Amino acid sequence: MDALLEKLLSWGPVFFGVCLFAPMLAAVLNTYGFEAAFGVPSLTVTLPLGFVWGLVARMTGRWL
Amino acid sequence: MSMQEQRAIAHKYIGDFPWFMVIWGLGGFALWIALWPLAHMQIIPMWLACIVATIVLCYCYLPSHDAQHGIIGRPNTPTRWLNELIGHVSMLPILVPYRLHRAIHLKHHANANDPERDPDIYMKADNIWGAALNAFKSKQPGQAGALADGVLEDNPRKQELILEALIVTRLVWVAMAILAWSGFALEVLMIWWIPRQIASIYTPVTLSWAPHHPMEETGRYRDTRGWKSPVGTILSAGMEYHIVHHLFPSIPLNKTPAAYRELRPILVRENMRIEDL
Repeated sequence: MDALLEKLLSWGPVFFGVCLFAPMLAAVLNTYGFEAAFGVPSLTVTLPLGFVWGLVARMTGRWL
Repeated sequence: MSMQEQRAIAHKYIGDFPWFMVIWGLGGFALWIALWPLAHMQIIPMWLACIVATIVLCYCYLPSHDAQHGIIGRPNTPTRWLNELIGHVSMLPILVPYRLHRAIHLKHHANANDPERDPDIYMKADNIWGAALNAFKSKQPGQAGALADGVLEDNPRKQELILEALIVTRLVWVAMAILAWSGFALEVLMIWWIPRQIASIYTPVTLSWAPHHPMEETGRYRDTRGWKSPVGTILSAGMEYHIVHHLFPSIPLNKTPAAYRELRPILVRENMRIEDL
């Protein structure tokens, strides 16, 4: 049980990247007209970005 | 004689119902909740909501801190439920789980500045920037911060407290993710995430590092200090008088300055660390 929990929790950074960082960054981009200017949905850009950032943070143990 | 004198003075400040801390704890949380609809409906601008939320979150630890010491309601008293409610909800926005944190915080009181046993020792730094860096590092993936190995080894309820903490904090994370994907992403960013990042640096720097700096000495009269903060009492969250809190943790935060002034002659006699205060 502890091992399973630990494994699940270790995916926290990826959860943050996909479930929080991506929509938050997309909202900022939308506020500044990114979608209108480039014709690309903001989430198309921020979702992979959030996933990769979270994955890197999970592997390296640091956000920056 | 000194202890008797200290206790006699301290007891003047202990026991009254701490209305100020209750209003602060519940009012701060209510204000933070109110910011969401106010900002979403554009009744107030988002930047203003962000500033107010940052202030609320930077100070939300303090009412909970009084609750950790049972100041609002001791066990088996009629106001104990209020004590626990404020302990839980006031810190919820910064994702500090109340009951686990209380167990850790009491370890800090018992072992302040002990390099092996003080859970706050991870904040030790030569200067404020080093302290801020330590606070930042403690929030990195996989870092335990104050929940270092061995801190709660002698606590039979450790597993229960950790499980409760995991459930509470993960529920908030999930709630924020649901909000972010439901059209409130900007609110999540400006009213919760950014303010929480600032508060998670401000709180340990102000409450753990500053009043114990340089974290070298131990013992009742040497493990914390009274000092004149360059940013004043409010911006330093009342921590100039933290010395009184460690001597008598049952004195509410807002009464520590008055208690300090009355205790000061005795504290000087006891060679406490008093720096320009």
